[in-house]
Amino acid sequence: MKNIRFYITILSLLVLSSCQSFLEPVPPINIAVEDAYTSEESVQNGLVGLYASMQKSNYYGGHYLLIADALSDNATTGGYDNVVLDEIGDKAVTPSNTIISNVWIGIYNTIAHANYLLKGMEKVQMDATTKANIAAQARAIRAMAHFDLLRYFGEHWNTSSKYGIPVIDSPVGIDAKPSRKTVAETYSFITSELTASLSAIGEESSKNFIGPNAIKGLLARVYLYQGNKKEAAKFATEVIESGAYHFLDNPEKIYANRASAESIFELYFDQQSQSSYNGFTYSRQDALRTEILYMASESLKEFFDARPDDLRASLQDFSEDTNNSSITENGDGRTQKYRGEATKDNPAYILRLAEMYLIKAEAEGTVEPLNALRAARGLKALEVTTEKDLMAAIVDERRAELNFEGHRYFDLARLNLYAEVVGTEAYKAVLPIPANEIAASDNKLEQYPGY
Amino acid sequence: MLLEYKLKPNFMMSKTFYLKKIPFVVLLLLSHWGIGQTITGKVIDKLTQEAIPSASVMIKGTQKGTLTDLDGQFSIAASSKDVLTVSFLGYEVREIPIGTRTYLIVELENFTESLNEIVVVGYGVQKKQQITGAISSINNKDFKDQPVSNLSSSIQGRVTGLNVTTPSGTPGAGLLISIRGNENPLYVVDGVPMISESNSALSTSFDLEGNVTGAGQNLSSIADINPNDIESIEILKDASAAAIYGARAANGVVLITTKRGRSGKTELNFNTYQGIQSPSRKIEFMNSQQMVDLVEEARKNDLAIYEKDPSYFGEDFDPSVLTDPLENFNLDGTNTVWLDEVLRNAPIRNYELSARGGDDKTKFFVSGSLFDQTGIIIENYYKRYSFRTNIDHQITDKLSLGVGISSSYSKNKRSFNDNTYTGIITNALGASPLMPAYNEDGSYAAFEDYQVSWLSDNPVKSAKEIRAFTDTYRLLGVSFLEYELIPNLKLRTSLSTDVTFLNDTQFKSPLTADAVAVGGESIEGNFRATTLLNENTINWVKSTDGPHNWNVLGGVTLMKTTTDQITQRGQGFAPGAGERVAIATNILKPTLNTSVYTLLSFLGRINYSYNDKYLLTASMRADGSSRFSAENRFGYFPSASVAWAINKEGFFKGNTFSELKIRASYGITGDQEIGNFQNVNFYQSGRYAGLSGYVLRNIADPTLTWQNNVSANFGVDFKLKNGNLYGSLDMYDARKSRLLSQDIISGVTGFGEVTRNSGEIRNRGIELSLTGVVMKKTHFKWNVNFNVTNNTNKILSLSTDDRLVSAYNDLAPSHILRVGEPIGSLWGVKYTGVDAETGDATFEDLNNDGIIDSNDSQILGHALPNWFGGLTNNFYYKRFDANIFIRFSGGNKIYNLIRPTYENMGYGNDGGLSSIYANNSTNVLDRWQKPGDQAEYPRASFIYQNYLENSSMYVENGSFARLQNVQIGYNFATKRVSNLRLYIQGQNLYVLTKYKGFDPEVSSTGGLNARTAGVDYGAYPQARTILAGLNIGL
Repeated sequence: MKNIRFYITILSLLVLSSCQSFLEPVPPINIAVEDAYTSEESVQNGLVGLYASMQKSNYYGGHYLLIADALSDNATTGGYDNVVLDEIGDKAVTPSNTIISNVWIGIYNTIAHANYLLKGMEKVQMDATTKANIAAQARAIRAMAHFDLLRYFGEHWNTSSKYGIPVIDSPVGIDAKPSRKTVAETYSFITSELTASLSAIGEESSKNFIGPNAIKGLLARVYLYQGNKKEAAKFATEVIESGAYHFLDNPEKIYANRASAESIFELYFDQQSQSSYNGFTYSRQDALRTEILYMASESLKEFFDARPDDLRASLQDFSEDTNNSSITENGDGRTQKYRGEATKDNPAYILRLAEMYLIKAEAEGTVEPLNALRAARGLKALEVTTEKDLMAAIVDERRAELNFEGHRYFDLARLNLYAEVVGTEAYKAVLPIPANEIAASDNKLEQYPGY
Repeated sequence: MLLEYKLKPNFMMSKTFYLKKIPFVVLLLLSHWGIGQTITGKVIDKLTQEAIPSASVMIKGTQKGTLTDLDGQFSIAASSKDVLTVSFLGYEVREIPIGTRTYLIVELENFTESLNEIVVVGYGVQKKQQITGAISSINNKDFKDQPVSNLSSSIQGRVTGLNVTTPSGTPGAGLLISIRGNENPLYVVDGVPMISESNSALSTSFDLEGNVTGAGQNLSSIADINPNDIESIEILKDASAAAIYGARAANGVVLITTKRGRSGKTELNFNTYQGIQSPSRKIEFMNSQQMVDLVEEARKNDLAIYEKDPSYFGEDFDPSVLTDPLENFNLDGTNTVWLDEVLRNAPIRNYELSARGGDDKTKFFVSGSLFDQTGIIIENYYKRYSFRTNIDHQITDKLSLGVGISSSYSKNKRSFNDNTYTGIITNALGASPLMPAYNEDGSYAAFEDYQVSWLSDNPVKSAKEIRAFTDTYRLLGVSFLEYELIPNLKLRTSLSTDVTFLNDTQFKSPLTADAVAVGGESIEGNFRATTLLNENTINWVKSTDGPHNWNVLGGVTLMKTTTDQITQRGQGFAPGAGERVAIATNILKPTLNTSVYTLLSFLGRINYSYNDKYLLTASMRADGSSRFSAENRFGYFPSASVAWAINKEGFFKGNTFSELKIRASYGITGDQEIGNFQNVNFYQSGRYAGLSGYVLRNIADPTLTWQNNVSANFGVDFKLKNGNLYGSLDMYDARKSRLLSQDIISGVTGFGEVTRNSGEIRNRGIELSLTGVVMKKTHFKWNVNFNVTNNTNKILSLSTDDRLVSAYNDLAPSHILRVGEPIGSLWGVKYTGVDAETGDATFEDLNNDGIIDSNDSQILGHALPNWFGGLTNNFYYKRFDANIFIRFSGGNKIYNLIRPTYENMGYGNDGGLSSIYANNSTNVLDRWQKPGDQAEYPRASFIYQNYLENSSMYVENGSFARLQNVQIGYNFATKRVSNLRLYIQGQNLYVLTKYKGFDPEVSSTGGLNARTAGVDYGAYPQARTILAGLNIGL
């Protein structure tokens, strides 16, 4: 019996001594978030990942931008009898719509990444300028993401509204029960963050990364939505006058090239990491309507038919010769902004020079910036006498220039045109908070009235 | 004179002579002689009365013995005081004192029909009569020679509590296996927990943007084991039986024991079968004329409504779409029956050769087999080569060792149907009969040029131009050393491994709609998984003649599993240059998944019995898993059970029962089947603009811990004295709590779901198993086994009640998780029939808002069956044997979500009104056509859907009874071989069901997830198989 005791003792000792390390294997490719930020290099990695997080198809990889056209008169939807997509095409989104729910989660994922990065990098010893520059980019992206949520889920044109969005400015745990901020509070966070990052940002580097002009462009856009025309005009003018950008002779080049002279901030994709734009809007030459998710609508065709000299008309294709008849049957067509079936590396055009001219025209109430853009697009200068005519011209020009780049739904909403143009109830200018989000917040998130 | 007779063997064979004339004289004379007499006799099966060849007949206490011949006859020199020990594998051992007899007929009882059967339990074996928990056992003879690749399908319907559903007819496909309502049990092969997941990364289950949404087509890695190498399968159902596997036993345990050698003459066995499979059921589709008629009727119906009230169609409606001829809608004589284009009759065959034998010290079993199944969908096939070597060797009296090595290679030419939009079947179900498979020049017909917008490609082109293969290499190895420290105390240590290497390749030629834009696409995936397991146990057995019997077990086990999966995609291929990723002009970013987890466990068990009358089992296992943080790491899984053999009590005087035992058990088992590192927030690598960085991949609940399954079982085993009826009745009640589930969290965290412990589910049920002899005549025997299980599943709590889930991410929610209801409750609007006046489909407006929409949804039925079972009839007539096996299941509903596609009543709007959506089945011929029609289907309509996908229009009764297997065999009497049997067999011959799809046993979502079970989206149809087989034993 002594022998047995001996064996058992030895065995137990062997097992117990190695127990702890045995049960904590080193993860081969995962990096725990708490352990991630230790050096300047790792903080750089976090920033790269923050940009990569925007490449999700739910965000700037595809859906986010295209939904804003499909919810307007610019586009309609195809797909295989796809209920959730049909809701978007029919401008009748319900709170259970999974695409919209994924957009919500996708944008907050970018915000969560920014929060982890900003918190994690605090204690890292590194070059102060680099640190400030990285933090400024992260804060600017976080502010942009909040604004992108506000445009969909908040009453963004009404600064006295209580229907803003949850502002998340630090990492939150899985038990988060968020509630809406007011629109004013949401704007206040966005503009103060953008302003702060503008003062800390480094020099202009690449159009695929946030630089001073991108932040100014965002500020111009945010102030325009907010109704602060003075600030909007100021920042739009600064970008235009920076001299860093100029109009191309043919707008097709914006989409055929990458990071063109008209581009201020453009999210990068390549053949290895492809975006969804081509697959969603073109797919292949012989594609059926069912294979394409977002189609150019007949309304857009009629719009361009009335603008014969507009160089941008060629960026839509409604022809029966080049499209399958199932696409054109209802008068629909395909945008040509995201061609490149073999490469599918189409970028997200987040900020372009043309938008700055359009903001400037709208904010200053002057026709000159509008005509500058029109000249570049093969159109004659306009002469407008009333503010109303000017506004109508700007809205049309925005549609001509920015279709299929995620603007139309927001423009119609903020100018109180949505119900009239689309022919639906006014409350649909704001998207419903996804049902799962309301449930997970213990009903603290208040649904937008009407849904 | 008499002595001479004895020396003539030929004469001895003459049974008649002995029986009728000799006995008297021999008896008399030999008993006087006392010694040196020759005893003859015959060994037969007690039940079938058939001869048992090669049975061992030994004189007890000596080395003297012989084997029976082909007719079961033996002859042995013995004295009247000797005792004969007669034994044969799989049968009880009998000891017969010779006394005055010289001719003996020895009836041996088959183990499977006996309560004395040895049952494999975790880390040991037990006599069945000493079992205190709920264990079902099934022997090789009940599942051998079945034309199936997967051992689980060969035991479906055979035991209680185990529901095996075949969700798809795909060769090599996975099965939905549930033990008492719990999916995905732990498989343990000769003591090694086996990876049982689907490991292939090939999947055409895409969401809107081409990302994989589900696990895709489920290939079972259990199919890597050859079912005919298996000696027995034990299903550990209650906590008492399963808790010794604590950590991973919450869903029950399937113990698989493979054949091992035995001493004696080496047996050689050759088995083969050859058969033909055909689609067991086809859905009838409209021909060209009927389809054109339907669409024109639909347009005419709409026109009539338009003429009555134009405003119904909106302001800008142009009625010409209702009158202009449709493009390419000409009856030119083409009449393609698409299911006939993609389905076929296909051969299935199997060969295997095995040898088993050995001597007192060394025993072996070796086998090799080829299983070759051609799919009933064109181009599809599955081949498996498997090999096994099991060796046991006694080194000294105290030291022994054993090894078991099983290796297999399988090649699967894939056919993508389950869980996909672009499947061959899903496309063929909607394809237009006006479209040919090929153009006149032999090229594939362009589906874009024909009516029907449902198709994503020409189905025949998909089958031929998407070439995908999954090659699997599998090695399972066990080696152990056993040492008897002191008498009755054994130390055992084992080292085992389970290695899988899997290679996926898929090439979509540039002709396919999927890859035409990129010039062809190729995918290549490699998966590796390695499990290393070390188990050390010490076992003390005290089995004496006294009343107290003890069996005490203790042990420590360590396990580590590493997995590595890399998938690469390449686009752009020059014609004829090859199909591998490496030669693509553009290679996309590969995806990498590599992970590891470890498990450390301590286990102990005590079995005690008093006079075999009062039985007690107590076990305890402590498991530590790397999947949980240090503070929540260890889970403790105790169990206890008692049994009372009433028939052994003195007061139990009746003659009715030879066995009557009641059992009760209670215990806890656990589950940790979640991904690795789910307890930490982590990044993985990502890239942007040529730089690499961190991408947030997981958000965690750091308090994540074990899921528990607390279960109680009460059972009765009984056997009538005459042996003509025996069976078991079990009742169980199990609560799974702290469910490891994907739980909704606020999206502001950056994620929509997190893995955490929440929710509680209860499974309650009754199981009954009865085996009886119906008839027993000299040449005819008929016995019956019947088993039935009732299981009720109920959600007791959820962190988010009324959670809607979709079988397919981009479809409307098809299921709901609601407290008080079972898992897998179907969700949708209630259909109330066709309005006889208008022909409209009508629905229940649940919220009375005047609009029928998803807000009117309610529970439409439950996807999991309430009751299921099987009925086996065995017949024996002289040298014939026959088996008829019926399997049944019921109480469940099926969401036939592909039916709205092929019963769309001429709808055209999704095709942009230039084409219809899909062809229709002939079911819709019974449609409304004029006021007053009482029709099953509503009015045809071109502009508006006169149907609603997520409604009870497509919820169907899933109950069925299936004639699963009929087998008739004949045993030849020949002296050249010890066994020669020829048989014919039919598998899946008939299904009694009201279901309209291919088969009521369906789950297009792969069957792995009970939450979205019971959805039919055009899964691979099941086959009917007719085969002939041969068993030869030497």
